[in-house]
Amino acid sequence: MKALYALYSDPETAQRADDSLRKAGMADRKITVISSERFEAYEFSRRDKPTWIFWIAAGGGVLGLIVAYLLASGTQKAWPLNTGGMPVVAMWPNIIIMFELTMLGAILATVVSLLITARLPTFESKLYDPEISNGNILVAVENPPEDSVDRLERTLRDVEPRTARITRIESM
Amino acid sequence: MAHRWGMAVDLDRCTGCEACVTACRAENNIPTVGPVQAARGRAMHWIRVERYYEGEFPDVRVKFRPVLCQQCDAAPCEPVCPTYASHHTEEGLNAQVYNRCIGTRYCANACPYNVRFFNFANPVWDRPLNLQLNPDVSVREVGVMEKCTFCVQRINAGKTQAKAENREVRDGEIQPACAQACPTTAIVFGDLNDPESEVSHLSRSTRGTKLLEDVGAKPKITYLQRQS
Amino acid sequence: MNREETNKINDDLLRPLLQTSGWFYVIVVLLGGIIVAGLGSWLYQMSRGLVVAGIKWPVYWAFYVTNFVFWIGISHAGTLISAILRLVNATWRRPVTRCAEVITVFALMIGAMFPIIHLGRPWLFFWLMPYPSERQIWPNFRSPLVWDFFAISTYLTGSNFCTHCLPKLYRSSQFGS
Repeated sequence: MKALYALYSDPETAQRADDSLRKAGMADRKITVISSERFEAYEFSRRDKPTWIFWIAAGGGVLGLIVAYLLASGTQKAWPLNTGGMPVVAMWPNIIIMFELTMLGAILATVVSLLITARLPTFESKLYDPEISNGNILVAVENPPEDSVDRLERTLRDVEPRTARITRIESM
Repeated sequence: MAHRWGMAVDLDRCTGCEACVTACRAENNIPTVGPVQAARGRAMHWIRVERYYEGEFPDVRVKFRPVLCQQCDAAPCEPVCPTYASHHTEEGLNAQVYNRCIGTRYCANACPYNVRFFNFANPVWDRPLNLQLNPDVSVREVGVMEKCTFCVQRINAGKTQAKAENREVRDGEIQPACAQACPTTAIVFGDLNDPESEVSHLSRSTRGTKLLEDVGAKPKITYLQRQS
Repeated sequence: MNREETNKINDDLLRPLLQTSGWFYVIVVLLGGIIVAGLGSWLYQMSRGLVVAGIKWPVYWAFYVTNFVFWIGISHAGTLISAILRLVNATWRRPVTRCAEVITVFALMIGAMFPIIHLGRPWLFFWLMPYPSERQIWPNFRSPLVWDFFAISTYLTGSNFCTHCLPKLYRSSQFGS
């Protein structure tokens, strides 16, 4: 079975579903919550572990700084044009190039690491239900172990017995 | 010993005849732009004679000052050219590489003497003036900057000749077009590194000043005039 | 929010994308005409030289550079707004930030055209890019125009990616939709 999911109409219920799934023994990384709006006030949207993106961006910035220094001073030394007594490798104009390439390095490192950590673009179809666009929240367990499917379905239904819609997906 | 080309202009001898201007444009293939464009200020005079009037009529005195590229040692036009079209040579000249110029006009902005000129239009020489073009000097196309080069083609020819004859360049042998044409020999050109050359003597003269010296561009042309 | 309301909201939001009246095409033709006129003027300037731009000795920098600075200033305004709103953590900021960033990006694209229009030989503008050209000579990194090139490209990249696309990509990866 590929996925078992339930649709809830408000974030409170979705949070309760998330908590009860975890009490039923599902690890955090096996629970998927999809919604069309942000719900920053709820705990289910804050479960991501701290990312390395800041450090990768900083590293990209340092790399940009080094590249800029080598580029500017290296090309100025490679053709040592007579500058009439002024320094051939002048620090102040080079600092501007170094700043710009530092920022560019940080930006590009952030973009690339984001694409990689988000595993974009996705080649296999992702879990989705049209009800999400209508404002409902989908709480799913992807690839549940076969023996616990019924138990999980009961857990999801017990959160909101009247209005929860449970679906099983055999293949996507 | 490497050369360091310099010039001395004696303002007490300058009569304002503008023979230097005419000779310069003949030597360096400077196009005429026509009366309309000249009236709009687009004439390209690599060397121009500035007139300063002193006194009230009828005691008016006119002073003439030929202004050309000062080939500054700390030239403000050099660090601002994005493509190194304006750069300094080992012999102290500020060279303009027409092929590398993309027409940013930053060098002209930076020049405190306003001696840099831009080709606003494609130059045309109506026949038979096209037969007069100097084959030693390239013709610039639209969109490039140009300026006085101290007749670098004559400098190179003089150096080549001296090398072929296995001797040093003699003082006074290389003369740019303006120096050659001046009837009063107000313009003197030579090697500043040679302490015996006439231009070295003149640049050490007590009558000597430099143009806009406080700007800090370290110009190489010494203007001689009576100081009182 | 029930299904009917959301459907109606979707229809209202998407209607300008799916339907239009004849006036739209009239406006497209008018504005397109202005663009063609601008392009034609630039081609005229490239063929005749900068004499048609009214620039003369000794003031060689005139309208094009000033206009470039003007448009860069507009793009800075967008960045300033979105930066300040982010720093004070105003949650109502998101639509305003989106507008400001769009203004930044488009004003940058306009501003970046003008140094090229200002050049005497614009078909050689790529000599400002950092690469070894004839005889391995690189551009002059002391020149403020080369700083311009780096600054604009970094700014454009940053505005496009960091403040526009990245948060959306990140959110969409989080919520999988």
